[in-house]
Amino acid sequence: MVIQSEQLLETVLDLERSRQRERDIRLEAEALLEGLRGMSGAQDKEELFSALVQALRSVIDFDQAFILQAKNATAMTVLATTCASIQDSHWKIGPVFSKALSGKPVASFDITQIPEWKQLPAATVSTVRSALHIGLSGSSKKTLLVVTHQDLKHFGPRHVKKARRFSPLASQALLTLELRRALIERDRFYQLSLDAMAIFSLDGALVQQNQSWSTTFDDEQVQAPTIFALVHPEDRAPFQDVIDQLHQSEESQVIKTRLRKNSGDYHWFSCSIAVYPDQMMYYIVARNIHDSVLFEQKLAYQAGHDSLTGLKNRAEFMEYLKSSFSLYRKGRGEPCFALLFLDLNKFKQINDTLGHDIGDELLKAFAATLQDVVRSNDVVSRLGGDEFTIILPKVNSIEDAKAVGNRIRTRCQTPYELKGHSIQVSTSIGIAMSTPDFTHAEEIIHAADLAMYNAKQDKSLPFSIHQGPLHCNLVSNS
Amino acid sequence: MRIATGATTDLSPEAVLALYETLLEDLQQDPDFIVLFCSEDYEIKPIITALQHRTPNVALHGGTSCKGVMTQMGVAAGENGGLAMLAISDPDGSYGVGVVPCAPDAKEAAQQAINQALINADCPGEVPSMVWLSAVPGHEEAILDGIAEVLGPDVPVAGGSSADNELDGSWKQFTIEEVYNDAVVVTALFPSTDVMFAFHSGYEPTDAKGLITKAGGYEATVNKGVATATSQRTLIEINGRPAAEVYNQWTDGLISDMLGSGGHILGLTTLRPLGRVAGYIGEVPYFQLSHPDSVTADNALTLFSDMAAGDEIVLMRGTVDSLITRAGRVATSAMETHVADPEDVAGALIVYCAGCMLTVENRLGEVVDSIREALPGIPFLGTFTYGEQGCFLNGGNKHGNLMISVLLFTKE
Repeated sequence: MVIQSEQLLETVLDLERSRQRERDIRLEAEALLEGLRGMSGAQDKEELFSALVQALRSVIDFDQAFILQAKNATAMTVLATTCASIQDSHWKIGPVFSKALSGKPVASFDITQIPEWKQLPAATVSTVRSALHIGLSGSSKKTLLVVTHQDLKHFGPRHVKKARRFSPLASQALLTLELRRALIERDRFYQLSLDAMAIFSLDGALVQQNQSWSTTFDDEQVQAPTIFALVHPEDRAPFQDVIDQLHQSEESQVIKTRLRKNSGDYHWFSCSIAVYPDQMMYYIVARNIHDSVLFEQKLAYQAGHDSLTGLKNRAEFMEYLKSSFSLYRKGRGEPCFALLFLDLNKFKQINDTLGHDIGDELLKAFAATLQDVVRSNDVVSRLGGDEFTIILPKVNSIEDAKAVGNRIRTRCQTPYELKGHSIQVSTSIGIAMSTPDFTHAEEIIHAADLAMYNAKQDKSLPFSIHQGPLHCNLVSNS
Repeated sequence: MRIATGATTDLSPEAVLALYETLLEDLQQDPDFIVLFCSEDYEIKPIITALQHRTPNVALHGGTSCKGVMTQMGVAAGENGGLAMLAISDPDGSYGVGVVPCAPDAKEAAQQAINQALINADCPGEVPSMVWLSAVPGHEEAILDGIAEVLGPDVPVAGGSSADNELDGSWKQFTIEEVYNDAVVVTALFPSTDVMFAFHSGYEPTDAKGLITKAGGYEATVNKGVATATSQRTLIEINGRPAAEVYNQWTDGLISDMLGSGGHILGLTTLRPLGRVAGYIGEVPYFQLSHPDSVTADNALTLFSDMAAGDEIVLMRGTVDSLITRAGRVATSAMETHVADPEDVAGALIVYCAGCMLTVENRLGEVVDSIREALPGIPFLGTFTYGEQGCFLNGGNKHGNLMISVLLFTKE
């Protein structure tokens, strides 16, 4: 293919055009980048405005500049200006401002034809003949940067194009300033919060903390403890589980855990935790709930225990019995457990003759006796009145249960010394062993109760043993 | 922005309305701006009346084109010429058309027309992205001055002078309401998207160059009834000698037969125009062309653009092949001003010199091919004009001859 000389000339011209265009773009980009650096460092609106003006001046020639911000849906006021006469001016949003605010910079060759400018007193804008209106989108309020010139026809399409390139940078700077302000405000709340707040790196090292965190956890003895060092050893595994789960999502989780305060005590805290793997850190807000946890624990204890003797009450006993029975059933008869049902003989007479105070003291003393004779994992309960139960888990045979019964009987041979009264008591004991014949936990209680009733009827018997739901054998004290 | 174009060689208003309906189907919504070009064969008034009835609020910019028009579908230049329409749907943009007769003062007329256009676009006082221009031949420089007087020199102006078939003044300029034969019609373009443009000649300079030592106005024989007193389109002397003699010498006797007697030389000189340096890109000069159209009895040259004493002129050289391929090259060049892909372009307006068109007439299909290659699948409307206006990359709107102006609209 023969390239003709005029085509060659066109090609050279095209190359020169491209070179010139690239140079212009590079110079403008460098100027804007430099301007952006200045704008991004602005700490307040005055600094930002000054940086904006400087940056824009590096690419567009103008006389004055000002920023308008929306006062309401239809009006704008001056936020900052290089021109004193503009300072207190008020502007209505008309078609030109609307267009500029929608992201399309508008150049005016003659401001006397622009509705928004027509509203102003002549003296206010006596030195302005043409203007360029640039909408900025970084603020929550509508914001407009306006630059002016004293000559008519000063601004043209090339200025509009430059303004279009400048606008996102200025908007970004405005956004940065607003975010910075918001961060300062947020930091104030952060510092004011009574909750302890801290940011940790993914390896648990403390990155940032608020005042409350410092007050609560800072320990002169331990330099910058990791979060894991603060967590109670028993709680570390579940705590780590939560952290691991949170790595999979950016949702937060709340976990109740014990943290070591700088006093050395562990307190219960409700910790709201969010993990941000992309930021390589996680956020913790810890609220001290120690008192309420202790109160809850107390309430829970009270709900399951007899207030007089401190033994488990009927409800707690039933739970435990059902649990043991369920375990027994699942284990297909292993391990066996035994249930002792006890009743103080003639307790009503003691109560009636010596008074309820003595009766109560006797019940407490008897409860202590029962606790004393059983293993630590045996469960002693007071069902009500003078009725007690003992669950003996993991017994090998009826002999183990009988041994406990005998120990109780032996201890009862020693009178209780209660407020000047020496009281000798005896107890009727029914024993039921877990067997495959029972289908419900309640049947075992019923069986033990029945056995105890038999023992009470026949005083010659130390205790009665129930061995199944359908029959009952009385065992002599041999 | 959406753009649709179409053409017809049917002269009836009904056919034009049918064409409009076709474009409407392509756009899928009402157009905001229509550009309509046709050969002088069309009776304009019934056409715009029908269109106005159909779409009363649309901004319409119209003019005549030499012998026909071209679109991406091909050349529409039959026995009865041709008509093409480009319709833009751009609800977020603004378009306003102004038209004013050039007499008695073309510059003043242009000022009035552009102000009218701005008001009609609902954008008084605002700087448009671009101005699209069609005007009666003979006053283009004054018209460009008038537009610059209002908007400043930096607003790009592109367009072409109205043309007819036989250079007998049958050209027209029109809007949706009125038809003129001596007016300037301008559209202030405020599109919601970018516009890109290029203005090229495609000729190369030769070593033959000289200094204009005398130039002046003339009463153009081709501009019937149009005052040209202010035009400086007679090149009387080059280097102190009669201009036609110098030109004849530079071109090795190209117009020998006309010396002393005078006569039309438009067809002869298309590939040998005169150029003036319009600016430099880097160190490479680019040229604004003037097309000699006749020799006077006293061996002066008349042109389609103004000259002034003191201007340096260069004999330029072109080839038929370059006239064919450069339309596509200009379109590519326009695209490169924004580093856009053809996929980003919604449509194009192309001004192609009628002189060039007449020179390559039998190969006009190849011109369309070169544009289609540069703008694959993109609708365009091309008009053939008696003078082209455009904006060089380094700024400044110029009127020239044998030029090509391309205006591209981006989709987003």
